[in-house]
Amino acid sequence: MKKEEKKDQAPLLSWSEKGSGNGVVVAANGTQEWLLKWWWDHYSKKSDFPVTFFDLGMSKSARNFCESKGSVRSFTFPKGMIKTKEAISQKNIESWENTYPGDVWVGREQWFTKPFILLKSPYETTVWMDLDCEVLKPIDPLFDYANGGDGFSILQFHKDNANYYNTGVIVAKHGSKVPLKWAEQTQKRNEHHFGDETVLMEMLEHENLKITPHPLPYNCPTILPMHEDAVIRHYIGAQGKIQILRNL
Amino acid sequence: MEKGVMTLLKSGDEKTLKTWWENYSKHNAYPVTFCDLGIDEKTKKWCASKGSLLTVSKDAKNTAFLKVEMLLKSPYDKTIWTDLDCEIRKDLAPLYEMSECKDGFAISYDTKASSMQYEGGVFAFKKGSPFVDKWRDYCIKNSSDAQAEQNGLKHLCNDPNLRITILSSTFNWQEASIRSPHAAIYRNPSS
Repeated sequence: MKKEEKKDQAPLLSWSEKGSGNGVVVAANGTQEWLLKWWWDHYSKKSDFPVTFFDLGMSKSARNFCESKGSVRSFTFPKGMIKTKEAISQKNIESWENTYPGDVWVGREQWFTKPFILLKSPYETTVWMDLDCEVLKPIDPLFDYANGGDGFSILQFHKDNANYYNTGVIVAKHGSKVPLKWAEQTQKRNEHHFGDETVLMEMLEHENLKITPHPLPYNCPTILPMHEDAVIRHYIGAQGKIQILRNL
Repeated sequence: MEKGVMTLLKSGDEKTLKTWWENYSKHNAYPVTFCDLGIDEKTKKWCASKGSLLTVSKDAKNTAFLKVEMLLKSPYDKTIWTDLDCEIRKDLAPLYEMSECKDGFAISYDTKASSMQYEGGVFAFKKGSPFVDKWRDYCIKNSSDAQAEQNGLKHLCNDPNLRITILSSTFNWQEASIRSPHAAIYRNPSS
């Protein structure tokens, strides 16, 4: 029997109804759905928190797969909210197209969904994971990292004398002001940004947000050596995807 | 030395010290500097056998900001400070990672305080952190205040220019009635 999707009546820029418990949220469109099974195979061997899959334009078969594993919700931006190439400065067009090997204009439509999806999460505490994250160990301790501060945790790491953040893994408490402001800024300023991460970085630079970072083992990016205690390995960028494909 | 841990001891802390060490050494092997604020000879010897001893000068013993003074004397590039009432339950390595931020300091909020302020029982910092300098400056300016150290943390909490890491409660679990099994440090204020 086909599962009926629960309609979320909350406006785009507000938290949905208060959720319950701990849970995991992932999202995919047609381009990334090939990662769903790989992600699930690793995740389900190590953790059993409920998973909500956000459908950003998956195929029917991918959606069926997600429905067999957890709950599925759809998300699409209102038309025109994410600015298209025509509204972007020539300098940014050149820079972004050179930075990303795929179609950056399709990519942006998906990357910017992150804060909006967090706002729609059905859980009290949500772990967001990019689909290129390989879960290696149970993730139970991760949920605690959003306790304290503004109820929002991402990776903060130091490399080559600079500080970086990565949003491949996020922990967010329902009601946290960070996803809300992140979504607001995305709506207002996405034409100036390559993706969700730079919007958040800009906010962290200018606003006194109290994020409580989680340590490297919970989002160990492939641009850094493998951490001996790694819980989640994050296969970043095109190189990371090639590594995943090699191991499929 | 690159990394190490500091704590402060006063007379009467001997029993707590043993418990602290027992928990700490189960999960960690970083060198420890014990800041001696008047412990007996036997305890001094014990401390010296486990780590190094930093004796607070007699003149300094009346100041209201001994802890802050000790931070400036840390022999480590990256230091973790834990008060003796900390029950250390895990490897503290992530705390060093957390001090890798612009102003080289990581601390949690005081979840028991009525207004927003930092909790000074657990923190990590890098040598030369401007947070430590500002904390000390506050304490010097307010040296007649017996609570200068604590009030200094309250003051710094409102400094919009400081870019430090806020630690999640995992690193400083202050709630005694409900305890997360994943926390790295439990606080035992009654000890």
